[in-house]
Amino acid sequence: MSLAGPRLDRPSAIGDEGRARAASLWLASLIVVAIVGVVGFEIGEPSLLPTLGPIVGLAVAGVGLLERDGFVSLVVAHALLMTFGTAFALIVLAAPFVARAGIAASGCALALAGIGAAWADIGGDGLGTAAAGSVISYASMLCSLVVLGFLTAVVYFGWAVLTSITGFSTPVASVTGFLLIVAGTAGVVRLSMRWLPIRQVTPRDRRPAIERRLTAARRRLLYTAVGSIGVLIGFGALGLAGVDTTVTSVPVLAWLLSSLSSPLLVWPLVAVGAASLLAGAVAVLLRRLTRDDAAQTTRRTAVAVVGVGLSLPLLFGLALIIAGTGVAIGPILLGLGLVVALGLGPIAFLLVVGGGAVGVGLGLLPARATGPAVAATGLVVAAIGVGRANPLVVFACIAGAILVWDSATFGLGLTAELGHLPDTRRLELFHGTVAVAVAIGAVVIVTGLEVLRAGFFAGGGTAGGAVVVALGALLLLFPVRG
Amino acid sequence: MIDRRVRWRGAIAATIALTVAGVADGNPVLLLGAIIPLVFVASGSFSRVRVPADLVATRSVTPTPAPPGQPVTVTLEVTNDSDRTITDLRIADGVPASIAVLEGSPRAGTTLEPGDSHTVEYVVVARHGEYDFEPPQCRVRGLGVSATATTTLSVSGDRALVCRLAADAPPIEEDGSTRVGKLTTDDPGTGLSFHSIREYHRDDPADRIDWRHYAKRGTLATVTYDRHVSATVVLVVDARPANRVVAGRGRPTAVEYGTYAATRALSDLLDHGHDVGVAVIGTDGPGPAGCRWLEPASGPAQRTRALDLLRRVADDAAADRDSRTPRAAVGGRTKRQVRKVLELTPTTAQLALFSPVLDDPPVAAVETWRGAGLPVVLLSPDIVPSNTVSGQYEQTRRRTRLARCQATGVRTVDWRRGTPLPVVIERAFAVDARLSSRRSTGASAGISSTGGEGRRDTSWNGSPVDRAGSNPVDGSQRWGGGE
Repeated sequence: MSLAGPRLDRPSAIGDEGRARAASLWLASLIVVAIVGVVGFEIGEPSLLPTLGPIVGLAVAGVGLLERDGFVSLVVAHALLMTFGTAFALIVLAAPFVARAGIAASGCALALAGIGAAWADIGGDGLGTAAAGSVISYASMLCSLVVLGFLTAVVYFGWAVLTSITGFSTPVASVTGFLLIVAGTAGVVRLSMRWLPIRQVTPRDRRPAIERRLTAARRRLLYTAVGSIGVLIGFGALGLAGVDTTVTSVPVLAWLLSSLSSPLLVWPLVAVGAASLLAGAVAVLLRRLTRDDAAQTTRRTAVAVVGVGLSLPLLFGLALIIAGTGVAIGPILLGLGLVVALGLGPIAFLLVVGGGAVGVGLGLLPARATGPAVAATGLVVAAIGVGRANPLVVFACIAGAILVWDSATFGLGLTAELGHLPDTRRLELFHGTVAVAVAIGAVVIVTGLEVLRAGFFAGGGTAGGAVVVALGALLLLFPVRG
Repeated sequence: MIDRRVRWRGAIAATIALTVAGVADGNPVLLLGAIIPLVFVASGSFSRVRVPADLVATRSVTPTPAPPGQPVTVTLEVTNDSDRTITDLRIADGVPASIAVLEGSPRAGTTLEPGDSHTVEYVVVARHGEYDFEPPQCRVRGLGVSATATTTLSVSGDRALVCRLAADAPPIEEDGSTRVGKLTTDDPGTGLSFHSIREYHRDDPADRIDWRHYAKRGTLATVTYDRHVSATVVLVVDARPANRVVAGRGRPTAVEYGTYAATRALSDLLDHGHDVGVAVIGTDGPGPAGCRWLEPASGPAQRTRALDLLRRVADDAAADRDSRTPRAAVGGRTKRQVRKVLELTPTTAQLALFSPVLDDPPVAAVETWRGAGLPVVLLSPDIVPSNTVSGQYEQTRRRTRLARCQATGVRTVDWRRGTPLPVVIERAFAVDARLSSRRSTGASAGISSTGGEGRRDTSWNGSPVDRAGSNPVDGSQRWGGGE
């Protein structure tokens, strides 16, 4: 593993088995990158390519890493899906509703994702896995949010109880609070002794002695807890009988009883209980995590880790919204951003990726050439998005879409027929040259027709254009028919 | 065969999508853009292709014949003898299904101008037998890629890969020595290399008297030379069904490796003038206890008989890889055959067992033989792949068994893949033959005194156990070194 995370240049991440040959993919990639760059300038967003590139690339890397079985790889995969994947999905789904240029941006994001998927050899199965992974991560995040919220409430309540105990001034209240703390601490320590692997980490020759001591300690802690509760009950009974006033009438005794709720006495006891509880919980957690290392367990643990990790910023966002209401707009906006990104983003990602998986399942997208198909679709969407801009850019987008499809599927066919070992670069470059020549010819033809339309049929508006298109299409379909 | 493939459904879909978008948006540019995909469809339709008639293919297989497990380079050269450029040529050589490609690919894709050639080179692993290559498949596409023409090419040159056990063994008639016993012993005697000087005995020949010594000291002394004797070696091949396993698809079985090593050892030992016998355990043969047995002897005739026997073993192993003989029956048969080999082997002989040691019977066999005092060499071809966890586990178990064999005083040689067999054979027999010759020298008196033929029952005065005890230290020191 590299220092910065799992390596991506391994066949499992950058798929090698069914991937198109490299020269064809490079040609398709260059076309996509060039067109996305040009579209960015055309819609007035020159930073479109450098903005989309890392987001889409890391989202695709997350999908690719889902094929791995390693814990770190899976954690990184789910983290990438829940962050960059959701950002990519929000761009694809939300951008078209913002402005017309958003359609182009959405198409460009799809094109980049498609070509990335082609490199990573992500097909229908990979999309299905990613969709399922996003669902599990999202559910894990929501569950973690609930658990964290509950724990926060418990801690808050406990803190309030403890601060009220340390604030008691009457002897009766002090004794009651102290006995409650003693009983609670004894119970918690006894519980954590059951959880902690004290016996297991003791040398074998000293285990009998340790077991004897542990048994004695458990017995004493039980007596302490039960005794504290018993004393508490007895003290309550005395109080009901009115004896407590007699006891507290003695100044020294009253002072002693009042000092039982002193912070100097309470906080060390609470600290011992809290430390024991924490240590025991950590021991139990580690034991459960390391009980078996099956692939499914590793996958589930990675999802849980990511869900817990992402629930923290979500909780923080909710806290900002609650705390900032009526105070300041800045924290509220920040909180809203976090909540929308983490609360709605995974749903958007599920829609995008799940839609792709369903498309593959229905046969709308080819299973083996999903990446090239998505890339070509993205460029067609981008062409529609920049439809009112420079016609040459529109034509370039469309020609690029067909070129990407042609080049990538040609490379896939080579892989299917010849495998990955033979050197086929010359063949691929020859085919690429021919395809680019055909694309340039097509763009020249339609540009000429556009000039014709804009000149001779300018008054005809859309109808004139339709006539020209119909003529051109008939001209082309004639040889196709034969 | 000419075929046309559908490649442009996506282009048609793009045309429809752009047309719908153009109409919905009232955008004539999109409508015009819808023509672009149709241009590609049209170019694909214009594309034509024909079956290439002037493609010439030549194949060479080097080396052939080859011994089992040896990498063999196959070169297929395809030349375009026509006057037209072939823009998309894809070739797949017809590698026999039973042969594994070790390196490179038997497939290629390229463009070929008139007069140009393209060479496909790959390496396969030889397996025992003869394997015919199928004609290479050739597919040609037109410029539009949609149309394809598929055909098979006729090939000149080599058409088969021949693998023989004795492929790289030198013929004994050409390189062998006619003198019996080229082995140098530690004992003095007649020969060429100086060994020592000793006191003169009355029956010493006059030409061995050291006259220089007599001139200096005034006493007679006799010069002795390194004595040359021959050894007797019985090659035992472990051909049990459990050993008919391979390291990977298309690779030789462990039995094939074992018979190949035995063949090479046979040639080397016969070439040096030793007596060599062959025993095969683990199969049902015509010999005693179902054991295929060839009496130790020397000379070209013995070599021919032994090679024939080993070839039949390899043939049987290759033909009967999926044998389902009950394990208990195999185990009982193996024990009987191991004991029978012990009975048949001359007392002066040493045993060379060729086994992958994938289970315990070979260990029990060498323990039995060593218990009877016979020198044993274990040459174990390593066919266990170590790139998986289970493979590493099996490899550890195998090496543990080798160590157990070594602990009994057996000289074990682990023949790793990639190590040249001649080196392995040389290491396996360098020390052992010397020791065997010493035993031979020491035993000759016993043989002559009893008049027996060297069988255990008649040649020694003591029991086999006694003999085992007579030379334990020597055996363990010299034989237990391993690699």
